[in-house]
Amino acid sequence: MNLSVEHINKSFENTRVLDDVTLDIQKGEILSLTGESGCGKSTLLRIISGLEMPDSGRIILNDEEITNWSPEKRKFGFVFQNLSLFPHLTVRDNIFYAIRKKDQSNSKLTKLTDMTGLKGLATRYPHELSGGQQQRVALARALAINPQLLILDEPFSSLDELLKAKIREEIFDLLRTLEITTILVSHQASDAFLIANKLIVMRQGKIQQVGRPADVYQNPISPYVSDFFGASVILTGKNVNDNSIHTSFGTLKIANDRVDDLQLFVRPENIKITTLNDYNLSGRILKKEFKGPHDVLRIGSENSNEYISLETERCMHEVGETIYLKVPEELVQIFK
Amino acid sequence: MKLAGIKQPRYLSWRLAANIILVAILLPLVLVASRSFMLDTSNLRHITSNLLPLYLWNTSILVIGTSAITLIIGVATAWIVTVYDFPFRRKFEWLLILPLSIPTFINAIAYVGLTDYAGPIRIFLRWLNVDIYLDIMNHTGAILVMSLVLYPYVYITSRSAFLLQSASLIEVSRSLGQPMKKTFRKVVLPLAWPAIFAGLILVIMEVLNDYGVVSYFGIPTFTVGIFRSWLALGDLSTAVFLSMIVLIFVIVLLVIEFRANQKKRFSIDKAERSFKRLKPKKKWVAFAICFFPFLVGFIVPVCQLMWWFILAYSHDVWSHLLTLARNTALLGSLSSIIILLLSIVLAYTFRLVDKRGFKKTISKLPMLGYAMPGAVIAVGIIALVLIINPSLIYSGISALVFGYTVRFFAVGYGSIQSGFDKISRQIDDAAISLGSNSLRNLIRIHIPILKPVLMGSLIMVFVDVAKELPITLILRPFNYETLATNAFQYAKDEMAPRAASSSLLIIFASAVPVYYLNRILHRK
Repeated sequence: MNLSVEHINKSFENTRVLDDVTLDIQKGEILSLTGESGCGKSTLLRIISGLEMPDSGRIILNDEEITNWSPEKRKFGFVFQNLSLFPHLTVRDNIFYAIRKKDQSNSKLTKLTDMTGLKGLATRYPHELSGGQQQRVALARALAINPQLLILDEPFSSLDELLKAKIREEIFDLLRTLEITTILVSHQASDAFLIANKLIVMRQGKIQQVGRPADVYQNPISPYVSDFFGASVILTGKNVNDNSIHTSFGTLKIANDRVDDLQLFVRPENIKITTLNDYNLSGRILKKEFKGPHDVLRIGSENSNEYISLETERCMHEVGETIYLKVPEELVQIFK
Repeated sequence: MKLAGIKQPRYLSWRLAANIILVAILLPLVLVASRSFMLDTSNLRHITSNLLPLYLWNTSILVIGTSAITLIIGVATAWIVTVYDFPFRRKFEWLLILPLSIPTFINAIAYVGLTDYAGPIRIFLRWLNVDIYLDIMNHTGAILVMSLVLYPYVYITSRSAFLLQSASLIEVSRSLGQPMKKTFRKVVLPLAWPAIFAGLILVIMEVLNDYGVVSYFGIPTFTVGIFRSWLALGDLSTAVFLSMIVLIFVIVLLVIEFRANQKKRFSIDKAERSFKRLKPKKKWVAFAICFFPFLVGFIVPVCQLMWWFILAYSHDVWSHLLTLARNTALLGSLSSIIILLLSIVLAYTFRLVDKRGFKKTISKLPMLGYAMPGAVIAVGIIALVLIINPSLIYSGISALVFGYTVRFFAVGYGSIQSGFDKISRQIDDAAISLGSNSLRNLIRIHIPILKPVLMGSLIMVFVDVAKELPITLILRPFNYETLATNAFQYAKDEMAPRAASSSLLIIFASAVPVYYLNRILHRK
């Protein structure tokens, strides 16, 4: 199984929803598609599954072009955001919905219900199930057709936080065990980190970055991507010479090309509060907020209005004090 | 001062008025039911052994036949208009409702004219040198003629059910590998069934109510039996007996519908994105399927009537037509205004006193009148009149207006009640906290807000009255003619062309609320 999406374009009325999108997914891979809402990820899914037609571009499955295939011919298992269980059918009939009568064996049902944690619920109706159970039925129904590709569209958005963590772990474990090729759409970075082999970040219909989750987290190519995956500290800087950049908090020794107005990105967990003998940046604490397990400091520059927010462990310094920070220069990412 | 344990109920005058209205509306039906306990048994043997099987057979055939055809046409067109994209689709959304503006008996008159010796079809066939005797005045003809103008009931209810259905259920079914046909059969149809069934029940009730078609075609059904026993034989006892049977049948239907609705517990959770229309390969087939019911259910009968209208133009129908229109307008406006006022009082009272449990059931009771065939209601009113004044020959129009009020109360009351439900109760609370009383609230707040709803219900009741035949025929004063009775009489007297002007006037007036109905459907 090898699916390639090539140069897909799609507009609704006058809005460009997808702009020259190209990606591919190999057998057994779990691809996570993320981005803010309205970035086109759901439309891309609908085009891959055949529910929507692209304006241009091709979709190729195992060397065969399937761009014009109907969704029923593609048979990609699709788990919808709202689950869309058939309300008039029992769990069993929902799972066997697309299975021919003679293939609806009890052993198959047991296998699917055991796998998805639905033991003993086969005769229930969807409205008699909890949110988590409904989630599992939707997955079991999609798995029942042995799909070449499983598509999960924001699968956990209807669950509350507590339940979500548990179900998510179970479902991800199952997907890994089954080695089923999966596209997971989520606007939550944590979903992607937990399971994906490959991460695609989209923005305004364009693919921003493709890569392994850890790489994308550590080396985002734009402030959008870096913000998307967690807290980040972004400094503006000017380069003084080939190997140092001047910011309003101090100077960093980083080799770079001579360009004015740089943006320096660093994950807050990489910034350490230190003492006078080993620092490269400094600033004054403007505000200190108690946030339970950690504190959030607003640190202002001594010589400009610029400030950064920094999440730290419990901080011994008080508002008004000057603190010294150590930023590992090799972990700083430069956006131009 | 408060007496121990006894609390003066709030809104006493409202409650009193509401109870009087309820009793008045339900009285004719209760009388039919109670009268059946004191039947004159002398004729009963003859009726049960000779007439009853005949009535039962004819009525059943008509009910089953029209149900089947309206179901097929109504559901198919609703599905096509909802799911596919084809030429003139948006127009068809409401054109498909238009046949509803033609009363069944007028459609029958038009089709008899179309197929008889002097009609265009036979003329054309003779021109081709083949002459086939086309007789539609039989069961098949009656079923077809009624189905063609009654299918919109099924169309409207199924369409709104399809529109409300979640698009993603269809999509999930397709992504699981099921083609559209199977998706329709396994998902769409079962989910829409309660709504489709509600439309079907309206069709069945119209068939049970029908007197015009069956008497014109000479098919003795229950309604015909009730007419004969009262109007021809003056035998109230038999009329009550037959009415009772129809009444029981209707109640059974209503119970079935109630149960079907109860099972509908799986309601759609959220407002969903509507379905993205598919472009079918054979879009002209979709067009043809939608055009055909409109053609034979509206264009053809209207053209036939217009042709007659031109033929009869030279005859002096005009002065007469004016009287007919005036009588119809008088009855229509009187009934619709009375229904409007009573509905406002009733609906407002149920708003003031919280309707829960038993009271909720009671608040639905006045709807029963609409479910009862006109002939049954008319028999109930005769029974009532005979109690008040046994020697009275009811010559005024008050009995007639009373009959309309009972029969069409649900039309006005239903929409006014749901209009009230849409007004937030906090508005009432706010007004009361400002020191305004309940009557002032009604006049200053509710009625102004409800104005469009009130206008709509006035029009709908008016049109229903204008189309009504059985109650009018039984309860009208001697020689008092309306557009409907006039058209019917001319048709029975084999002077159908002269029925054209009255018929066209009724159709024209009815087309207005059909358009209105479509707008309501769209707002959903």
